[in-house]
Amino acid sequence: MFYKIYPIYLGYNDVESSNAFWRSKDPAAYRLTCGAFVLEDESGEYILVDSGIPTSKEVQEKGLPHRQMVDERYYMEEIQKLGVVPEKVKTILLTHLHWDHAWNLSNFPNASIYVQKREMAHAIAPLPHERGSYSLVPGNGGPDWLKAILQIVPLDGDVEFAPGIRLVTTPGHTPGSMSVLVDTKDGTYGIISDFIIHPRNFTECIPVGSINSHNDWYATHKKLQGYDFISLSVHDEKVYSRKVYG
Amino acid sequence: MSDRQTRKYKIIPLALSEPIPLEPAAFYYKAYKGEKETIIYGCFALTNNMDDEVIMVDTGLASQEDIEKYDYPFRKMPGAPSLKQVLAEHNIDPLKVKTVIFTHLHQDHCFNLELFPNASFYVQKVELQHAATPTPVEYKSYQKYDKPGLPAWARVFGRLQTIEGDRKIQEGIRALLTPGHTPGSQSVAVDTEEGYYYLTGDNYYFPSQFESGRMNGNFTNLEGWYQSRLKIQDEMKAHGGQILCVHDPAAYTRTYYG
Repeated sequence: MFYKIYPIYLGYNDVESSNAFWRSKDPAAYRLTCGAFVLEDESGEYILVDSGIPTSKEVQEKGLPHRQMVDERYYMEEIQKLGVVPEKVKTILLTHLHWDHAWNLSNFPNASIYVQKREMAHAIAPLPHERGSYSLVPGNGGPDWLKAILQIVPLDGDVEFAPGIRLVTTPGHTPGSMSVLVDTKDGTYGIISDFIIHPRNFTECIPVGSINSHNDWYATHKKLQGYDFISLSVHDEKVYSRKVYG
Repeated sequence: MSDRQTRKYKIIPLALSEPIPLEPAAFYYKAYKGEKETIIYGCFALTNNMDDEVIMVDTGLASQEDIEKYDYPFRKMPGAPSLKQVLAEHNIDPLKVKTVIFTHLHQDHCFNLELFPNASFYVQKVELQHAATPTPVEYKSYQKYDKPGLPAWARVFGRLQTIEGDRKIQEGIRALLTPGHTPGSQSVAVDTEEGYYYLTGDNYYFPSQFESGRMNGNFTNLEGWYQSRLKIQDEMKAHGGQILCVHDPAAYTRTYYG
């Protein structure tokens, strides 16, 4: 089965280069975009890969410790512009549970949400300095994904998810990160979030700035060399220069 | 009732450099902005109230002469003294060192071993295993570079004693496994006349970091770093005492502790 991959652009922040490349001394800022992907199969059905970010309004109202986007777009608006009908979405794949990848889940009441069990365990009880990334802050009522917990189907390791979609565990950025390899008519694309922020993380073997385990990151790097793919990362602004892949 | 004297130690901080400013990301995880902090290179010698034995906790970095001679990828600090000189200045005879304890095997903690022909070297097994198989970000620190000769820690391989977990080394000195900075980092609890001191290696660059719990920028085990901090806090609840951070310039303002 071949899919089409639509990148969903949600805005950006200019951040220190060492966010994207471990201990980088490059004085130039890195344009860190946020976004998500929507897959469309040959019958026109949509699968979501990650589920976007909170709106800046929500961030302000709830006092969330999250970046507000420059050039902000709204995830629910953007996917509906594409043709996604939230009530009809049956499948959501979450690469990991950081705030910028797993918001908006309550809008999809008929979806099964797939995420690594290891990631759920970590997101429920992250390390003190990671609590912000998982939205565990006072007054917030918990992370958004917890509201959809009854829809979650936890995964345990690599999965041949469907013809044309492979799920591969890629820890390093977080312990339970997974990547989505998607076959298109132009070849296989890899949504390797956030092990790869920018393709250079993979091609030059430079870890990202936000690392849970160097050991894991390097082991994952070796693992990924066994797969053939073109990487797509929501945090790489170039990804949005095409409207569709495949 | 016997009034047998208890073995108590004095901890002598041995400075091997001047204080040096480094960017905050080296100390604090994801500290992209901020003032530079200063650190120092050094190690500790322990003397005691009963005999002339000396114990070393870490043995510092290579001498400037060796850094020059072998072109080690290390900061050049002209005028920085060698451990040999500093021991002589403190009237410490390296031949009397029977025990060396490595908090970890980074290259600024385990050089100069040729000075100690009579010593056994204590290191956590996990640390030794990790030193032999570091990740690329740590290659320099564990001396995995293409230069002649073995990493410093490997040169005394025959006299390395691996320990696993917490262990009493001898009366008044306990090794505590405290991963975080590296998988096999250990802290040394030392009983002195002033109470306990915990030589915590590089888990905390400054006591303030231990107090605040602000994550170290140089780590292998994030989970371990937090657990280790709790462990030292528990030790302090049980035995009192304070920590001494080997890279903290303020630790070297006293001639000795205890």
